[in-house]
Formats: sequence, structure tokens, C-alpha cells
Amino acid sequence: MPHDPMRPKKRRVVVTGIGAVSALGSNLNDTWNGILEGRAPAAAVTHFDASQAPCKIAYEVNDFVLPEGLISDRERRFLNTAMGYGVKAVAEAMEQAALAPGQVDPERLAVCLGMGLCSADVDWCERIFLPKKYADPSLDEHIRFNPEQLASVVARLVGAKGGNTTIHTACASSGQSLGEAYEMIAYGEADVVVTGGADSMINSFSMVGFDLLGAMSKRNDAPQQASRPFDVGRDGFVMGEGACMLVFEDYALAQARGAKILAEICGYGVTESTYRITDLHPEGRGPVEAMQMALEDGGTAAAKVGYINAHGTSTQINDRVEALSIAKVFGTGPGAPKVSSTKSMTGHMIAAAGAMELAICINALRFQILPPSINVFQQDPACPVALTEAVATPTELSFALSNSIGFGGSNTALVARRWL
Amino acid sequence: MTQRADELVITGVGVASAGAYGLEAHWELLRQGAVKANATAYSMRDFKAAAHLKEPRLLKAVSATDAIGLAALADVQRTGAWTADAYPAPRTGLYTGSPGPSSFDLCPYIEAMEAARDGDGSIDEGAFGRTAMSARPTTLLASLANNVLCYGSMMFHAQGPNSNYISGELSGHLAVQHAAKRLRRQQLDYVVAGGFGAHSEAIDTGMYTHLGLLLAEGSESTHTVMPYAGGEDARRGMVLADGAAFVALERRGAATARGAKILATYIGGGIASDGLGPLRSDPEGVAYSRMILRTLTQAGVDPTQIALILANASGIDALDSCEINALQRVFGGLGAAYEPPALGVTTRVFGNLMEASGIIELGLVSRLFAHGELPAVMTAPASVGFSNRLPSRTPAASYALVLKASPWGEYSCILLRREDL
Repeated sequence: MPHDPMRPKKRRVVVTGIGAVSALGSNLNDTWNGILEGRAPAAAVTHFDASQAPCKIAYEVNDFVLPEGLISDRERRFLNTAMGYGVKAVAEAMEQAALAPGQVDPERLAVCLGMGLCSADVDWCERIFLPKKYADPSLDEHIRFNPEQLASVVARLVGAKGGNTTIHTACASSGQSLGEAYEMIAYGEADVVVTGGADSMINSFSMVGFDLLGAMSKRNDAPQQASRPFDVGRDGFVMGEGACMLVFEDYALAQARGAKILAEICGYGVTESTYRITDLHPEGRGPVEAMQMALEDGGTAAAKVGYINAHGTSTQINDRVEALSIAKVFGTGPGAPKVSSTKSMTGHMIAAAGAMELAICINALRFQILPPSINVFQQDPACPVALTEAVATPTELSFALSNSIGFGGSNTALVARRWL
Repeated sequence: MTQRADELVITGVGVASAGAYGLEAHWELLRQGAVKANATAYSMRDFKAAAHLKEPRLLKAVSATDAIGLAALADVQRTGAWTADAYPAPRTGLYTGSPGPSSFDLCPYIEAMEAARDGDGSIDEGAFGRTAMSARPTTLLASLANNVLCYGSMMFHAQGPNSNYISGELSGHLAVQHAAKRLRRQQLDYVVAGGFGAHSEAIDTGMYTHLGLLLAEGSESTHTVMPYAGGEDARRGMVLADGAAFVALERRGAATARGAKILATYIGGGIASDGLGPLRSDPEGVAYSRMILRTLTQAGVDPTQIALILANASGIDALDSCEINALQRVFGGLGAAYEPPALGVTTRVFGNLMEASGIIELGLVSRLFAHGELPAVMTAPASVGFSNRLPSRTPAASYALVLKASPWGEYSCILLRREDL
């Protein structure tokens, strides 16, 4: 595609580090292996008493321990559960990126995160909110419900002085943060950006909120089969939690310092559906244009994309409209890309979903393996996409695309390229 | 001054605060020096957003905070002479800065929590899972932090690139800067950007008080933030203010062609952080000053061309010191003959508008240039070394800097050029 002279020339952006915390494991390797094995560790909720709620199941991160020395006791007071996941994932990503002191100017190192709502919990409401104890000295800890705290701690952790950005566009939050991080480097505003997302909505307020909307699965008796994207019998999503963080870097810098490059980011699209707050436009207005924009951004022909990690929430409307959108952009013929939604194995990580799913795309490119589509007992004929097999499958893959679709109408698409 | 058709201009400003609605009304507040007396926070609890919206139905499923944001967006439509057919929907965007969830969002669950109390009076969380099912189905939706992005996009038919920042006081500034980048890269033709927030409720005021950031309630007859003041006049904290402010940005050529009134030229912006972690900022203002210098350098603007600085001036001692030190690093060594820029503050009148702060100022720049001097209520103490009058050396000094800083050691600046009104 010829370069538009009105648009500034872009730099190449590569990924040099990834860290993850999910129900499948507290690092990327365990998470990836869990996906290859087709594990679905959903179970009855233990984080709170969900026994009388309509949805009683989730993909929980259990036995999580934040390694010593990453944050101070003072900082711990500013962080909630999801932020702890985020700190751990950043540490893993930075270790893999192996950025030594002095290799990047701190003013060219930025932080750009997608964060969840960080709602208060029932315990806090009982202690502070309902009795109106506004003079309670512990009220300063309320700051941990402010989502931007994580970016501040991460900046301190990695020595970033290039600015902190925190984004919330519901389920598209970290897809959007990755996109903006990519653009910061591509257009020369930063050399390295620590990006990704963290979220945990496995709490009373959030779960009942989604229950009230009818968005969650009620297959409490079969938690491991409850999240079934693109299956004809899907009845809603199953909540997940965790974090995924990536180190995005200017290719020239990564090359100069001899960094191991995991993949190249080569396209970002973002649109607004302007339809309804929860529903998708029936013809896919928004997701279609986001995917087209991402392809055009990197000059990637649709036919080159071999795998799409769909948003695929396992709700009736999302999966149907997203599948139709994919079919519009990529066609339905034999050359159409393989599609899967890994939410059947991670649960819906909400604001962290986009980052986790791009990381899965990158591993698919690195290891030339298509993630499995589990829990598809009968593919919905209204979802005309070529799903991946029920087991992980070796493949030849050059480009992969990750979709995110959020309540509120924000849609993102990111394209990653295999690094050889 | 050469004007280019592809440079970015501000063509609309929408503002809603506890003091007034609309940019002109806010300018009048500043001119009259209308300081709020005995205010612990500038609350918009009684604000009637529906009166300002063409489609009040948009307010059905949003919070009171969101309603303030949507009312300010309606003001952008009015003042910016926006029409639905001016630009294609895919080339129109909205960038918002919003607060995270508020404790008010939990109010719909109060009844359910009370109904879930067990014999000893404590809340049975298991029972809450059942009692909460009597709440409104859309309860969760009202607490989404991107509601204004969603409904505002519908108002403007904005189907292009968008985002929503939840970065505290920098949120609105981040929205404007990212929006401008999209225009500059030719990815959008028209974009509305800014922020909104409402933190005057008891939980947030209590939290900020305990964090040591809020001006303590006193017996002074004028209980207002006094930025940069020392000695007996020292006021050690900010005053929270509810409000919303947005600007419309487009390219000059297109704005002129559609007859839009141009309020200022957007030149550039920058962000930085001290990287010291939560509630820590560098008292020397090194990263802050380097961000300003970097922004000027990238724009090809010399510090001597800055005639007006609209400062963050929160009233928080540590942050004000950091800001003054940063400004001295940029402007302090320019020689004895150098006539310093005017340093204006709006926080005495507006309070700290948090996510919306630093946006009204973008609309006020050209008015201040036309006025020639700062209204008395906007002046900084002489001790900080800046002027109350705008330098007379125009057109060379035709630029203004609008600054934002947060107690988290995070900074932003936006560089504008005056437009002769």
C-alpha cells in the first residue's frame, strides 16, 4: 500500500516481553500451556459467597502470591487485587524484555494501561459507606478503587518518566491501551511502552450487575462447559480475572540492544458503533470498520491473516454479530482465517481481555500453533466463521488479529506479524 | 503570523461547572472575581442537565456525573455550530476523560444490602446475590466509566477513533492531546475532547482529606484555594469541584470553509511523570520542566514566545512548589531584559475540576490575549516572578501554555497560539 504523504511515516513496533496472570496460571507460560491443553478451570466462586446469585461460577486466579520486593508496604495500600496481578505481569514482561538500565531514556519510556472499574466491595460498604464513616482514617485506602493507581506504581517499578496513561472502554480497555501504546512508538513519541491491562470483577457488585443484564451464563452445574463461544447453546459469558502486560518497543532500539523479538505489531483500528450501550449493531457497524482500519494501517491484505482471536464472549448477540463482521471483512471461503475465542479457557477478563488475547495471538505466531476452540458442541450456523479445531493444531501462520468489543460501543482490532 | 489550512484549531468549547454554564459565563466569573465563599467543594448536586440536552432521554441510564459531561457536550454543539452533516461519521471522533466509578454508583444496591443483613446486623453477602436481583436491570450500566463516550458519540455521530482516559486530573488533557494526534495523522476530520468529573460527595472529599490533599475546612470568610501563597496566607490543599469541559478540534481550512468561529490554534502537547509512585512528586520539577521544553522544541517555539501560562496551581504546597520550580527552569534564565509571561490561575474561582481541569483554559486563551491582563482573581503572587500583564511584544509572543499536574507526579501541557478575536 503506498504511503499517504499527508500521514507521518511510522516506525516499526515490536514486542519484547510478555507477562500474564490468569486462572490458567500466574505466568504466560502456564497460561499458554493451559490453552494448548484446552483446559477450562472454571469452578464455583470462592472469592465471595455467590451461593444465592444467578451466576455462581468464574475463572478465578487462586493461590496468587505477589513476589516480595516488587512494591513497598506503602504502595500496597494503594493497590487492589487486580492491580497486584498487574504488577506481577509487568515484572514478568520486563524480565523477558531484559531492558538494562541505560538502554532506554526514562523520558522515552511510558506506561499505557487498560484498567477495569475497580469497584468497591461489600465489606468496604459495610464498614465505611453505609454507616457514613467519612472521618474514618482508613478512608485513604479508598484510593485503591481508583484505577489509575497501577500505572503510577508500574512507572516507579520500571523507571518510566515518559507519562502514564490509563484507559477504560469496558471490555475494549486493554485492546485500546495496546493500540495507543503501539501508536506512541510508531509515531515517535516514545521508544518503549509498558502496556496491557488488569481487571477483576469477581465480586458481588460486578457479578450481580452483569446478572441483572442477563449477560452471564447460568450453567452453574457445568462450569467448565459454560463458556462456549460460537456454540449454538451458549447462554452468556463466565467471568475471568487477571492481567496481561507487554513491552512494546521501537524496532531500531530492540535491534540495537540485541533484544529477543517476539512479534511485530503492524496495525491498529478503533471505532465507535454509536448504536446502543450493550448491544452490537446487527450488521456489525463498528467491529467491521475496526478490523478494516487495522489491516489498512499496516498495509496487511486480509488474505494474509491466518488466525483471529475473537472477542467471542459466549453471549448470543456478541458471537453472532462478531462472526458476521469477520465474515464481511475476511470472507467465508476456504482461505478465510481460522477463528477461536480463548475466553472458553480464560474466562472473560474484561479490561484485561484484549491484552491477554493479543498475547495468545503472539504465541500462536511464535509457536505456529492454533489455539483450540473448546466447548463448541454444535457450531451456531448463524456464526459463519471457520473455527479452529477442538485441540491445538500446528499451522503455518504469518499474521494474526485480535478483536475487542466493549460495552459503550468501542471496538478495537490489532494485527500482529510473525517475527522470523 | 502565517496560518496554514492543515493546522488544528479550536472551534467550540462546552463548559458546565458549579458556577456557570458556558464559556462566556465562566469568563464573566473570572472578570468579576466571583470567588466561592466558605465552599468545601464546588458541588453540582442540583445541576439540571436535562435542560441543556436536545435528547434528555440519554440521561435515563447514566449517572449524575455522566449527565454533567453530556450537558457540556451539548454546549460544544451549540457554541461550535456543529451540524450532523458537517463531517462524515467515520471521520468524527470523541475523546473523553472520565472519573472511575463513584461510590454513588453503589446507591442502587443500598436497599439490597440492607435487605441482606442477617440476625447480627451484618450483611450476608450470599443473600445479597439474591436481594440485588430486585435492583434496576441497568444498574451496572450507570456505573460504566465510558458512558459519556458512548452517548456523546451518538450525539455527534462520532464513529471514528475514540478513547476514554481515567488518569485522574490529567484525563481531560490526555483526551485533547490524543484527539489532536488523530487529526494530525489525518485519521479524523473533527473531534471533540475533554473531561468531566464530580468528586464533591462525601467519600471522595473524605478520601482526599485523609490523603492530605484537600484544603481543610476553616473559619476564614473566604475559604478558597490560594495557590503559591506562603507564610500566613498559605493554604495547604485543593478544593474539589464538579464539572465538565470539552473542546472541538478540526483543521483550519475546513473550519473556515464551514464558517466556524476559531478560538485558538492547537500547536502541540506533552506528558511526563516523575516515576516515583503514588502521591510522590519531584519538588524540583525536573521532569515537569523537561516536558515543557520538549513540547516547545517540537513545536519550534522559543520560551520567549510564550506570553501566557495558565498554571495548574492546585493549592497543594508540594505540587505548587514543583510547578514554580519547573517554570523557573524554563523561563527563569532568559535575561534581565526579558519580559516574563503572565501567569494565570483559575483555581480560586473554579476549584480543581479534576478530570475536566485545564480544558476551560483552552477556550479562554484568546480572550485573555484580547484583554491584555489577567483579571485580579487570576493573578499569582509577585514573589513567583511572573507578570499579571501579557507582554506587549506581539506578534512574536503569541503563544500560551496550559499546564496540568497531579499529586501523583504526573504532568501535561498543551501549547496554543492566540487567535485574534
